[in-house]
Amino acid sequence: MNIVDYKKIVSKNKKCKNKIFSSLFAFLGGGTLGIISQALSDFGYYILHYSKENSYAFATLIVVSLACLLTILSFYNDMAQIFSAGLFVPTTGFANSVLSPSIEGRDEGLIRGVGSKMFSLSGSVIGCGIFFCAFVTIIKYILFLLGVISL
Amino acid sequence: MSITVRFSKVYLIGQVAVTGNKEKEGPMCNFYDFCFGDEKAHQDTFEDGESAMIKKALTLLLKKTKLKYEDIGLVFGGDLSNQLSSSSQCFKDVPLSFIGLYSACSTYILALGLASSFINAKYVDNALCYASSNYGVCERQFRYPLEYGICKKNTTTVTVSGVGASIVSSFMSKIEVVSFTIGEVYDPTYNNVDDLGGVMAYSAFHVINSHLSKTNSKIEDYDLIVTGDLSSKGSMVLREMFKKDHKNLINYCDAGEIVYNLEDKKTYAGGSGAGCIAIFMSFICTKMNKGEIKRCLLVGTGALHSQTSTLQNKSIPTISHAVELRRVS
Repeated sequence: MNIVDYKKIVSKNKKCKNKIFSSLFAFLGGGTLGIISQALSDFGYYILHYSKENSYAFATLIVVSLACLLTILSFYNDMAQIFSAGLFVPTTGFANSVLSPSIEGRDEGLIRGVGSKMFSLSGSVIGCGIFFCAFVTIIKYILFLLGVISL
Repeated sequence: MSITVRFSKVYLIGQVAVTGNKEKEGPMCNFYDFCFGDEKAHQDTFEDGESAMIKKALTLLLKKTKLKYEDIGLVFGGDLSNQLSSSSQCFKDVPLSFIGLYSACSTYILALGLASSFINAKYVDNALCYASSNYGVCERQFRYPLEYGICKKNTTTVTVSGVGASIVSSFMSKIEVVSFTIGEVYDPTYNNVDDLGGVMAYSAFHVINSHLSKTNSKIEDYDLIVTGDLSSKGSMVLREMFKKDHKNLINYCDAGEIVYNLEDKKTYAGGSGAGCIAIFMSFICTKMNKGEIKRCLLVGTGALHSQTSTLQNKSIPTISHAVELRRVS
């Protein structure tokens, strides 16, 4: 048995999830989350009379808190198996990626486990954010030097 | 070229299995000696829980075999944590010479084979061999945090929380350890960490073939061939590999495939981990003692990757060891 034959057998036995169903569930999950967020934002803007920016922050706050609550109660993981990218891509995914390693370290003590592990998964998102901020700032500064835009 | 060692007058005199709660719900639950209510075994951390499980298995085994610490010459075994920390935490309070083994999920079979070698050489009269794994400890060392909402693949396996321990002895019993094939490290150039069963099937295939040719036996000669933790996907690959080799893998089962209920969607492709075949040994020993299985080949399969090697996009080397057991007539 050589590796080529072996690889043929492995790829033949690949049991992939149904991509159409997975995409549909992700779309439904993500879409529902979007509707809820929009409703919350409108609620903040029209009912509670927040400013436009504050109503967005209000919606984000509620959604993130909900994701954290579901993570702590162990429901988020089960829901993520169904809705996959629908929950992973929005800010709920980020909330989960910060909270899940930190509650993992709760046994190790207040600071040693929690503090160091908190950004072990979400660090790449923060890193990318900082990098692109710096990148855009440099471009903006060059455009300013060329007199295209004013600061 | 892998070597096969033959033993004479080496017996397996006792076996216990201690597990967590999830395994208790599986089809093999009646064969386990003790099941804890959770993976932490009522301790604060998963690591402490694993140590407590090993301690419990040791206590039960001594009680079952009516042996004392002084009667056991050596301990072979290990778990999946870094530097065998869970085992070390347990054995720091135990006055026994300890040889820690780290061979991923094939640890139990390696421990059984090495213990038998020491008995065969008459260095000691009794040796303890065990393997342990814990869901919480392994998930955080090799995978993601437990509550991280990443979508799992169908080929993903769940680490078994459990300890299987046995005593190998020069004193006669119904089960004899006959031979031990020490496998080579293979690299199937396949680096899918979500499909370790498929990776390990490659080395399992080679070690079974090697054992059969070294002992001049055929697949039909065995009442049961057991692999450690290939899961439902890996065992399917192994079956097809034998089919391609014009052999029919009959009387075969995989411990990882049957440790959990297949209907339970949360266990995906099945169980894995060093404890998987170790706790399955309870079933084999019970059946062999009753005489329902007369000749059995145990194949421990291990995927030798680390989190760093995965990030470096290295392929996953794999190793398997095989031990043959026979019912004394």
